[in-house]
Amino acid sequence: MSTNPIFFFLTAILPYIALIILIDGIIYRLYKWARRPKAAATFTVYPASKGLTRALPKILGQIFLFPKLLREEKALWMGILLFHLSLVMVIVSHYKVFFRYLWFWENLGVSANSFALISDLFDGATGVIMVTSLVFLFARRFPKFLRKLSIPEDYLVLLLILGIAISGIYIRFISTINLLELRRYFSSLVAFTPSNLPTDPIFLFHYSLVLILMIYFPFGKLIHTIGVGLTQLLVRIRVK
Amino acid sequence: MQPTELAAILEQKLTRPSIYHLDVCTRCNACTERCHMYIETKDPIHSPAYKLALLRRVHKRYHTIAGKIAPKLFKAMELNEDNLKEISSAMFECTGCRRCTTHCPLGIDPPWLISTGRFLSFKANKSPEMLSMLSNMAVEKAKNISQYSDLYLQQIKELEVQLQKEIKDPNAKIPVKNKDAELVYIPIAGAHTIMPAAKIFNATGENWSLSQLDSTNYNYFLGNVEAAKEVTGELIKEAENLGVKTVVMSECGHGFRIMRHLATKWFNRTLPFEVKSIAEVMAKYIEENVVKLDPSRNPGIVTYHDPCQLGRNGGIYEEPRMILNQVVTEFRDLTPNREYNWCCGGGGGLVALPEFKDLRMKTGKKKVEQIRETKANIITSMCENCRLQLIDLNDYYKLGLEITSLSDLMANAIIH
Repeated sequence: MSTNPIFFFLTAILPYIALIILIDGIIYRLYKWARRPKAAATFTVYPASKGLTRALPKILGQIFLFPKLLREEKALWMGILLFHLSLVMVIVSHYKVFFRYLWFWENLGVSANSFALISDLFDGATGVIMVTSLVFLFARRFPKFLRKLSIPEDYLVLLLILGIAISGIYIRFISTINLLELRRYFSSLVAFTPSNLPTDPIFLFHYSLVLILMIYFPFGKLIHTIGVGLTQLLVRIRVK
Repeated sequence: MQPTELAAILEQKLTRPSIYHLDVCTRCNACTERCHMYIETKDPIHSPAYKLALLRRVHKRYHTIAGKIAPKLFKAMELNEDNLKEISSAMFECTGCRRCTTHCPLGIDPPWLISTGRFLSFKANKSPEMLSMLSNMAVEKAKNISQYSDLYLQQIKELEVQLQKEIKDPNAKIPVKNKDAELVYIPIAGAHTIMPAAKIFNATGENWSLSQLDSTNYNYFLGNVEAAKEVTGELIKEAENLGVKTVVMSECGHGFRIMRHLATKWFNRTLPFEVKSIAEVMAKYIEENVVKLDPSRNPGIVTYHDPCQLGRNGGIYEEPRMILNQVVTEFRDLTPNREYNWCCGGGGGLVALPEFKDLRMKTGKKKVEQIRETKANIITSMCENCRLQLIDLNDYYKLGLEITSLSDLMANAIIH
């Protein structure tokens, strides 16, 4: 397995390519945005707060909780919010994959066993919320109008993230992967001397989907993670 | 024009905000069911997200690497005859009310792209003929205002005589070209916005001048900013020549939005005057007790329709309500109101275009439901397109309403 060139490419070369494409791709996209001329117009939707400092709390509220949608379509609001919440939870969960964490909990007076239980509950909840919300967001694109509006990108990116989620759940709760070995691998990547290349097949599946996501990220609609701030700044601030 | 030529025009028109709005949309579809047009017709081209998608797919096809590498992934679209027809319908069948923008979780503004899409359709010779005609006429008129001047002054003199009779004041005036004026009032062509304002200004002793131009700007509805600037430019020139401190817009929706919020950006300079809506002026008169009012002169149940251009797009919500509470006996708000109000269905220039009459009547249903719910017998609004649409809706749905303007109500209530 370790002499297989595809395996070597996937674990020792592709990660670097994916990271470069992710970072440079985002910079490239932002550069292409910035190159365009400013518009000779204002986009404020009234009522709006005057000036950035006053508008910022409202803007953040709009971005993270989008209350205007809650007023109108509760199910969609819940699906979007839960999905993005689960993304935040996933980032928190992955901390312990890469870094030492027990010192923090021991300082709080939480034993390793107690932490294991907290972690199981938290990660379990993350998995359930993420998979349910993804299935909802995917299924809703099949009936009637949404089928006309959605493009292949919409379905594929949801399936991609769903694949990452399900394989992630498997790794977390079922497989017996060695976390220490994984940490050595990622450290070796940072040091530009790849070693301890991971061989677990489900992990490799999870990993390759993540790398594909990183490569795709700058070029599709996921750029809304960065763009949402820019559009809200146009719409939710007034000058006079 | 060749598809690539049209695509180049589209590309050139896509500003920084345009590309944000195109690239950030995730097709979440929060906007679609907020649109009064889609709700009634269920036609995909009436969905704001779908309209954006049409332009985005063209943009991907001609101007992005991603779109050239993986066209099927992004459903890249050619600018052929059929697609241009669909784009044109999607772009012109919109009132620009921005109810979609108000609700978008990402803060995307579909009407901004729709304006660009209209310009693209115009360049592809697929815009409504009447709109192109009105737009050309508007530019001609603005450039040749001196030719119409004598006739206009004569008509205003006749109106002045009528004014003097109506308010029983032989000294009442409708001043034109008044260089001492503090403010210039920009009407919509026709006595209906001049008379009520003249009555109010005469009662308050305001030092004013009536503009020789009017507030409408059809090129704005065509997305043709260059031509729209020719018309607005004349208004600015007139105000500068008169040396007024304030330009007061009559009850015209898009006219107010353009002068107040867009003109400084269009011309890239601060204008040497304030721009106010007649609502703000009337509200100030009432606050400062400059006139005596008798609300019993406006009996009946009165409701107010927030015009999209004055409300969501203009920021004028409270002044009309404050005025109505003082000049009518019973005022009832519509539900929902202010930024959540439903568009009347007549905006975006549609009211002037005969081929959209059926669509307007169909998509005005939400408005009709709102009005019926209040049991009002009088409805007022501060936008001419809204009033014309309400008149048509009143006729079509037999609502038994009286449609009036805010300045009419106040002028009626003034005790001279």
